[in-house]
Order: sequence, then structure tokens, then C-alpha cells
Amino acid sequence: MKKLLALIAIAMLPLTAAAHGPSSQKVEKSVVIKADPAKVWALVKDFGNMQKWHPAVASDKLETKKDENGDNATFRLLTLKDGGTIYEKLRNVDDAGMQLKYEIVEGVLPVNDYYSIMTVKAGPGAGETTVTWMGRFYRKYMLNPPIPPGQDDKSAVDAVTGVYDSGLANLKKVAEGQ
Amino acid sequence: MSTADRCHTFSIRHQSHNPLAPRPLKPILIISVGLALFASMSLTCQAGGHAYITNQGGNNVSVIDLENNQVIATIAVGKAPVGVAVSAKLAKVFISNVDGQSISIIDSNSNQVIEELPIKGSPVGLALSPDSSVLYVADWFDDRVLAINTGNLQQQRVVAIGKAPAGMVVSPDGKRLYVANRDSNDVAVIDTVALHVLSRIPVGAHPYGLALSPDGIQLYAVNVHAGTVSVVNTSNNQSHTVKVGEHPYCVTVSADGQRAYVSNTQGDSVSVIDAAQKKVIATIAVGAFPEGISFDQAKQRVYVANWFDNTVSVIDAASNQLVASIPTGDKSRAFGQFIIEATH
Repeated sequence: MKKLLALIAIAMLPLTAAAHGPSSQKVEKSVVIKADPAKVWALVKDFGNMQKWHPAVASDKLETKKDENGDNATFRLLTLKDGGTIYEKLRNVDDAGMQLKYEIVEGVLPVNDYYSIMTVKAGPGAGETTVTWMGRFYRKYMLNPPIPPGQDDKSAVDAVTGVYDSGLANLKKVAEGQ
Repeated sequence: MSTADRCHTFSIRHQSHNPLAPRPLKPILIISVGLALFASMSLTCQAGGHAYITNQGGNNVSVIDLENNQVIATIAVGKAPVGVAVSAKLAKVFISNVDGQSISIIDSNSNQVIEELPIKGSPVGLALSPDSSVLYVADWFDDRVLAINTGNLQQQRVVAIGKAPAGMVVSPDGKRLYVANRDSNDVAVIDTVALHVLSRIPVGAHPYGLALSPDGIQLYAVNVHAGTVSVVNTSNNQSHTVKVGEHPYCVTVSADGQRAYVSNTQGDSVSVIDAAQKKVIATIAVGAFPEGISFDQAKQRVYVANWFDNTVSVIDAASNQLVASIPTGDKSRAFGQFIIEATH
């Protein structure tokens, strides 16, 4: 039986490569922090130190190397407190617009083609800062139904929502702390 | 045909069919009826066209009046609408529902869904033949393209194609269908009569959106992973590569063929390519994650749907300035040529 399943899995591999995810998913979360925008942005833009503010991240190792187009690019390896890892590529840091863009190369989140923007803005009130975290991704399982448990749209959205909610809540704590 | 031509044709036809104008008529009446018709025709023509924006997360379509850039209707369609094709001739708009596995057909006069056609597979890209007689549907999962008779939806033909067919465009003479095979890194050229693949033109990594110049000579293919656009001369398949912004997706060409506009999803911008120079002459900041893009001939404007922002950005083509941002619906995509010019 195991052999048969393995054969089926192998037979399906080329399909996985060929097919695209069904529908892109979106998660958008924001938090208002009572702190100076520059202080919050300094935390958000620090690509190699996510463990300073995200409670699920144990360590963050920065790496610079050539990407698939032969251009120099910045990557980070996040090791989570539960032992899992996520390898991410920095797409852009815009200091003037206080915006960071990155993507997941590979990792434990049940997603594909994950791309994200973090934006820091002054307001709404005086001395306040709003951080918005947006993600665009596909579910883990890229083929037509039936979808294996844990690899569907909802699992992908729930996982990313969990990362954003816990991350933004703790970012607020860290930024508001002395 | 330009909008002006179309208005002219319509005013003549309406005059000749006008039951109020029998032959032995006093000149003064003819002139006044003619003037009244002319005035009403030119007024409605000036009212401009409409944009049909698919909102993938809202399972609906926002209809934008291009005269005032307001959403005038929101139409519920199938699940996860992505692709769009419009026909002024049929007064119909076709929407591909990827998760719903169907095509919703909208009457563009009433803005009501008049039919939902089930599709086996995952319909994404849509394109119409120039005479609107055939609707081409790219089936993303099953690597094939359906050719559906718009006069009889049960008459369907199928052609097998490269991997993950995405954007499509038909030549102005209707004889050739071009299909971007995203995972084969090429564009298939299909003979629309025999419905078979004539050739496959290699392009960059992950071609997605396609557009043709009005004369059918220049084919633009957007290479998502390469961050480039392949500009292919369709008469000899020679191609140039133009570097654009990050993670580009879709392309549209101005009515005069002199400019191509490319949405850069991860650059949050639109690249303006000069067709003669084959290079980017301007980059315009728009909303976040811009996808579908179309050119409005009447007002010389570019409309682009922003997936992250749930908006449509409007660019003035003469100045390359952003002139409006229109709130639409959840996850606006509008993949395809989504602007229908005014016809009456």
C-alpha cells in the first residue's frame, strides 16, 4: 500500500510543477502603536533581526548572495521557536516610504508564492504609528481538489493570519516599551 | 474602428431607419430631426465606455463609468472571477470564474448576468475573436484552450497547448490566436480555422499577459519571473527583450500602437514602453499589486486593477500622470481587455 501511494505521489510530481495555485489569497492586518514612526520603522526594516519583535522567531540569520537572475540579493533564514525554518528574500526597502517588501523562498508555512509588504505610517493620532502587513500567496496544494488536509486555502490563510496577529501585537509591545 | 467612426456610422444608420422621417419631408423638419439625432448621438458617444473589473475575493464585478470614474454597478458572478473579455458588438461581457469553474455572461446594457456556462477545468484567460463570434478560454489546469461559439455556447472546440496557458490575444484579422504558456516559457501561435498550433515562440521566464499592436505586428509578452517584456515581430518571430519593473504581469497597447503599458505587481507601478524605441520611457506609481490593465481610447487613459488595494488606478496617457484612484471590490484582478467602448 505504501509503495502504491509512493508511486501515485511520484506520478503526480510533474503535475505539481505544471499547475498553478488555484486562487491567490490575501491577508491584511494592521496595528496602531503609540511610538514614533522612525522608531517603529527601524525595527521593521531590520531584516536580519526579526527575533527582536516577532514572538515566534528564535533567530534570524542574514545572508547576501546572487539570486536566480544573477543579481546580489539579501536573504534571511528564520528559525522558529518550534524548530521550523523559513527562508526569505528581501525584495525592497524603501526608507522614504517606510515600506519593506519580501518573499518566502521556502519554509514551514503551508503556502506557495508568498509575497508580502510591511508599511509604516504616521498616525492616526499624534505620536501614533500604524503598521500594515499584507501578504499574497497560494495554498500549499497547487492542484485541483481533493485537497489534502492542512494544505487548503483556509489553512494557508489561518497560518499567515496567526503570524501577522502575533507579530504585530508583539511589535507594538516592543516599540512601546522603553 | 475609432469611437468617432462608430458614432458617425450609428447616427447615419439611425437617421435612415428613423420612422419619423419618411421621404417626402419638409427640409426644415429633416434638418431639425437630423440635428436632434446628431446631438443625442454625440452626447451618448461622449458618455464614454465602461470598465468591467473582476473582484476575485468578492465574487463580483465592478462596473466603472469611464466618463466620471465612478462605480455604477456591482454584479455578482461565480466563485473567484479573474478573466474578462468584452464585446461591444454583442453588448456582452464574459467573466471566467476560476474556482466556480464557469463563465458568467453579462448583458452590458442591463449589467445583469444572463447566463452561466459551466467549464470543465479552470478557466483563467479569455479572449474574443475580432468579430466576437468565438470566445477563447484558457484552461489553466488541463493545458488546453477552448474555442466557444458565442452564438451557440454548446458548440465548443478544443486545442491542447503548452503548460499553464494564461494570457491570450487574437490577431486583428482573426486568423491567429496567441497563447502565453506560463510554465513552458513560450507563446503558442494557433491557426484559428484549423485550431492547431502552428509554432511556439520562446520568450522569457513565466510569460503571463499578452497584447498586440492594433496592426497585429508587435506582440508583447510579459515575463513574470524575468522582469521583462518580450516584444515579438509576428511577421518574422524576431524578438526584443525590454526590462520593466518587478514581477510584471499584464500589458495593454495604446490605440495608436505607439505605447505599451505594463503592470509591475511587486513594483506597485506601471512601465510605459515606447514601441519604436523598444524601451521604458516612464514608470508611474499606482496602487499595490497592480494586475489587469486596459487602454481607454476615448479619453486616452490607462486603467489598472490593484489586487492588494481593492482599487483601480487611472493614468492619463498624454501626461503619464495618475489622475484617479477608484475603490472597487476585494482583490481586483481584471485579467484581460476589460474596457467596452460606448456604442449607442
